[in-house]
Amino acid sequence: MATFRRSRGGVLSLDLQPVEADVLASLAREVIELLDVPVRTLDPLAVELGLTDLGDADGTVGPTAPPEDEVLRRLLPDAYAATEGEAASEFRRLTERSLRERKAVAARKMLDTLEPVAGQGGRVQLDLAGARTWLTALNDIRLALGTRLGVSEDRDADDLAEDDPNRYAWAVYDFTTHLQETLVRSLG
Amino acid sequence: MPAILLTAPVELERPETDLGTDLSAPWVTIVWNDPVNLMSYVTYVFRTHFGYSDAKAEALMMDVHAKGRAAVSTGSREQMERDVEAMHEYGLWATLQKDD
Repeated sequence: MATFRRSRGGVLSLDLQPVEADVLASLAREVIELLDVPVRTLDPLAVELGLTDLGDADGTVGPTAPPEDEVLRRLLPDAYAATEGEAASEFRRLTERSLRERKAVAARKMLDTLEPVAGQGGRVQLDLAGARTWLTALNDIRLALGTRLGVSEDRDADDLAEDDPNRYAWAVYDFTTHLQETLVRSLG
Repeated sequence: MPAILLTAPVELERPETDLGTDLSAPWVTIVWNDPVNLMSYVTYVFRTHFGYSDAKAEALMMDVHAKGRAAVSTGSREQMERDVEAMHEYGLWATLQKDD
């Protein structure tokens, strides 16, 4: 299984099989689609400069209610306890849109680094900034997969039935877990 | 591969609300346990975002893991809102509340 390794000059490298590269790219694409942000906001520079966070003409800047989709609710959780609904709504109104954008940009950057190895596999090399981006993008992917799969603390991979329809998704989840674990370890 | 994450798009409502800011300190940022985030990653986030030592970051992570939650930072409401937003960007499940 592909594993992150530290090489000279602080660069991290990852050798991917064609299928591994394609799975990762397709997961990053799904996260971007799920976050559903306007294409213009996928420009990292615009997000960095805050140009996308200027709000609408009517003064509102974002939604006040949590997303209906369970994965989005996990990626964009309430900032206050359930008893503080008003504060949670106001915080969400002011921050959710830019949080969506930053997460989508991280996934986009991950996708860009996978572009050269798409379809054929090969070596991905990341500098420190790239590694940090991958770390959060991989985490969002794992949160999304874990939520869909209903991951729990005491899950045992061996419990899975041979004909479980989620067998493939579990294998993908375990692969992304392995990648993130080796990435964190490589960052020291 | 088949799409495993995507479902129907979500309609977002955007009513406007107003909320006075409570300036009385202190507030705390709470990080909650969840079954997906790796222990090594949570420790990494505490070291990176808060600048905590390895030992402190690891102790806080163990609190989250074993007790289900841990107060990871204290300060003004505005500071805690920034911390919570940062935790959400890292993918940790965090909320802020008044310190009891």
